Amino acid sequence: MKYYDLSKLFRERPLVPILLAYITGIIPGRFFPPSILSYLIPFLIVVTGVVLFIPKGRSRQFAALILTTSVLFGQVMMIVPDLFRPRNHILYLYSDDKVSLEGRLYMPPEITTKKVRLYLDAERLYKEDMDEGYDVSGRVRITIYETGIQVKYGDKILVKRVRLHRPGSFKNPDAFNYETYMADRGIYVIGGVSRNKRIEVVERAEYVDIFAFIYGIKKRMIDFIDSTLPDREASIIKGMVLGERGTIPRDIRRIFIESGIAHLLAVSGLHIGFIAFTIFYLLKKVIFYLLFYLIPGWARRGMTIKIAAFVTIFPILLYSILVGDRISSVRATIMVIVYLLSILFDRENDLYNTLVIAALLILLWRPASIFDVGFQLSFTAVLSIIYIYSGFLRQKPEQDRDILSGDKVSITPTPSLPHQRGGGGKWRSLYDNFIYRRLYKYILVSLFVTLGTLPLIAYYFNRLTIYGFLVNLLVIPIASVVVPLSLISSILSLISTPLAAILIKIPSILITFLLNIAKFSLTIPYSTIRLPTPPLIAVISYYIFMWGIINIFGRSVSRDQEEKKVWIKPVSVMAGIIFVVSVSWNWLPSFNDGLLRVTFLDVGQGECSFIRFPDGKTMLIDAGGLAMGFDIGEGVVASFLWDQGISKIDYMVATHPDNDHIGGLFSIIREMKVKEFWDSGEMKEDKRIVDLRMLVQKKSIPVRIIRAGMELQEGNDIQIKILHPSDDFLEGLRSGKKSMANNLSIVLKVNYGRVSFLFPGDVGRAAEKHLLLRYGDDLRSTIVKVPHHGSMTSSSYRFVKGVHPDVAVISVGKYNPFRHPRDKIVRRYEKIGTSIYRTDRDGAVQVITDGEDYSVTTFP
Amino acid sequence: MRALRAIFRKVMDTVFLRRCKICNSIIAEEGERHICMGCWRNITLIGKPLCSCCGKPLQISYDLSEGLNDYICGTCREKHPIFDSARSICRYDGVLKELIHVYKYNRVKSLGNDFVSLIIDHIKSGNAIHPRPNIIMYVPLHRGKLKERGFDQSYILARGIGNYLNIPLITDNLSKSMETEPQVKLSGNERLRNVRGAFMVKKPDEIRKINLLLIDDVFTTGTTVNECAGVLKRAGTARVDVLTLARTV
Repeated sequence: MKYYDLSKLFRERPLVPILLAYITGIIPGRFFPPSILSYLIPFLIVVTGVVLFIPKGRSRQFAALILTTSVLFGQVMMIVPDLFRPRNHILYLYSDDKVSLEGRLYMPPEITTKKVRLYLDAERLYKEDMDEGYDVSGRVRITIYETGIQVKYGDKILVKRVRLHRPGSFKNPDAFNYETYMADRGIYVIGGVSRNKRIEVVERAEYVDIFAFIYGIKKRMIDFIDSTLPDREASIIKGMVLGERGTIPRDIRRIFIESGIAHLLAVSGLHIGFIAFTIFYLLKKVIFYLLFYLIPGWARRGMTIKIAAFVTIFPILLYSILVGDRISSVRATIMVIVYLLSILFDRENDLYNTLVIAALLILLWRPASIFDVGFQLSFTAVLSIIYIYSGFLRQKPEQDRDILSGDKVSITPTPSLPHQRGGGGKWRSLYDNFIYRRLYKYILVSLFVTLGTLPLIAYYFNRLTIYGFLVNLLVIPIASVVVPLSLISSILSLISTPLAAILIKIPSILITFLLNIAKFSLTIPYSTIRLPTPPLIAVISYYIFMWGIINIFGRSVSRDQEEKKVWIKPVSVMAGIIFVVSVSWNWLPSFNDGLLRVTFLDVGQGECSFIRFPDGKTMLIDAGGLAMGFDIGEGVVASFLWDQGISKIDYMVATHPDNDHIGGLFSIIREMKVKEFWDSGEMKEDKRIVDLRMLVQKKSIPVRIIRAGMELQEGNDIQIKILHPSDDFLEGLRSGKKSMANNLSIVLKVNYGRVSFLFPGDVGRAAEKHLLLRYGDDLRSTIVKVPHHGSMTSSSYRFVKGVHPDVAVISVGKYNPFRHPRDKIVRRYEKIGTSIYRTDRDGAVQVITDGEDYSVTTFP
Repeated sequence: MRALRAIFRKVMDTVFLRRCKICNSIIAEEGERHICMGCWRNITLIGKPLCSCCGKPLQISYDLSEGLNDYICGTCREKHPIFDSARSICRYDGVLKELIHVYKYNRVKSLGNDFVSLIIDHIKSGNAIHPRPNIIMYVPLHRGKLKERGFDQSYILARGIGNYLNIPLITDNLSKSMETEPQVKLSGNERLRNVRGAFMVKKPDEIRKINLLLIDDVFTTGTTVNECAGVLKRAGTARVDVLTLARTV
């Protein structure tokens, strides 16, 4: 077998295989439980790779040694926090009781429109009944659901009577794990208080370190922007330039995301590169004159550029600290600094190598970043740019230099410009220099970044922005004026506020213009398409396919690429086939496996049940609500549905108008295809349900007004029966008794062979009584969703006995203020032999049945 | 200390790859070279026989070199240049021509060191520069050009040679006071007009009655170095010998 010799890669860019081996060491620890096998497999992979791709000899031994060490290092890095956690870490000491916690802010407070987040290094913990606290360590995040608190980095504060807990995740199949996400940032314990008065400043920061200095400047810049510009523009400029994204209003954020320009809100290469360029350029001029007249020898030796490069490093570091530790800005900072060092040491900067160094450093600092969407997007985008530059746009290797100094002198005119020969004149040269060189490159780069990040955006955000590429073409030039001008005015504001206030008007106007372009793009039909999560294999095969295509049709750079082409073609064709098959899998009509799947999702305090019928039709009963400004419909329910490959809801049921039930339906309607909306048509005075009905009407979704007695046959074997509200019950209410929203809940029963499900919404005793009277034994069900989260006012003794379920699912949030579910109610079910499942404890509860038997799966 | 240095160098080579400026392959040899051995060997050195005045190699197919030590070429016989002698290390063609372009126009300053070592190797292998000069000078760039390029290519060569020969380098005495067109674009007569009056000596006392070695990067028609030699001699220099990295043949 003739194998491909990778020893050249190992000799030339050893950091590439080292990075890959290190990542191989990091990844399995996250997905597989620790076992000898899960620790050994990465080694096996790497050793196999070495044996396959590196010919026998010393270089193979050397490679094997280096790479296995890298794997080991990756594995160790992932368990370091667990190995070296001190005994008094807050993780071991917090309890469910309220405590008081003293600690120091290790970061400036994170301010958003409705809340403020404080990041503390915990120092002392006081239990309720104790005067003397004890020493603790570790990081804690405290959220205050109120703004206006005046604390800063370095302050020591006391948080009074706070309940500390692990970061809560919504535990659904394939869901984003917030607990792990926070743990990767070193935070294992969080807490929240409602009022600023629960925070007491024990001690103002007395020491002034470099960070305090930088954060102080940042605060002044933020205050300046806030006081000069209207809220909307101010929030965007703060996000774009200072890395403060918290105050950007939800609707603005949505516009940025949907039009495909959300990356502008993250400080990245665009910003750091610009600052580096400007400072470097100006310094070069100043330093040149200084040297030319004072130390002419140095000027002639080429010290100008070295000194300029060295000095530029410092403002870049300052800015990087100022904007915070987002991956995109850290990456850009590292890359710029490596570039500047290459000048300082008279070395050549290799962009691939620089990118790999940035990845290695970031993964050494936070190994788990590899799982971070931000990391993946940032690196993929830059890799796409470098790839396109080295594959299509490069003429000679030396021209990689001077990305910063811009104007480069090329010695050989590009041979590939057909229009360059022959006559010319001013317009010709304008065409050649501007249109061809700049515009063509710019468009190609934008296109490649879009193509490169597209599968990741589809995978993580279930979104394709069709015109995003074009919007970016228009918007990036605007942003590259906004960023420097805002930054210059922010710096100027430290010296002369009135002058800065005038200057910052320009970026402010441009921001409005930029927003209008983005808004306009959204009015074009199909500007943003939502799609179910593509399978991982589709993402991987997409990249292989694209890489192959570029290699086949791209200009070949070096001779050895000719050899590669032999196997590139079959590989990319294979990848293309795999891609098409794996993507279209989702769209094929689903195979009828005779199974009914009911999932009671964990939506915190609220309810959401999702039913998938054997023939592939779907029903969604409620979708949780909005909690603390977090849209559960979008963030939990929609994301679950996308991950299950579902993009349409055949029957959407809104049981009753409570926020914790229908609050999440808005985003589902906005983002998914809904075929039919089921509604009782009652509660006409409730604003929320009226709004929902208006949205349904706007989307032209057919509405079915639900009354007891309706029945729907789903396939051959399944009946959906409407039990409530009946006309009798409604009559009874109208003649006297006051209206009770919960008692008007839609109640559904789904029968499949010998297994039945009862979905009673939030009904209370009155409706339960009515149901018992009306249906008697027909109310009996195998599985019941316990009415009203197990509250005292529902699940009356006779109801529980009448339904007599095998399984009861309580959809309830941890630490909810209503103390749902009540122990008494839980016991009432347990007494008759019912198994209890709770979404707060068990996560999502999934029941799968073939009409004979059923199985229950939980996702704790 | 040496071990530390080796580690530092290894790290540097891993972080910043050293690629040959000509063929783009990774340079395996240790050190600070920027050209791989393969391409380095393609540089054609100038050997004897040559014009004892301007250093132009002679096109003689049989070995007469022993007897031709005092040969003077036709051009020099017709009109003796102002400088006393000129020598070049290599031919201005092929690999070296490309390298000098990369050096000057792509501003790869570090190539200067490779050129210096090329010159030093040449001197080491018995091509003495004589008579031994008292000081070294270079053909300077004008301020504007220097600012644009970031370094003075001849200064870097001169500094390297001066360090090796342990001869002082005089900075900023001979200076270029006028920005001129690049000589490359011009023909013989235009070149003469182009550089006339472009150079001046700031401190004549410093160079009075001494032997001076003048360094430049490329010798084409000799117009530039001749102009410099003229200015220097008028300021009182006893002898001006020219050494350039390359020359056209």
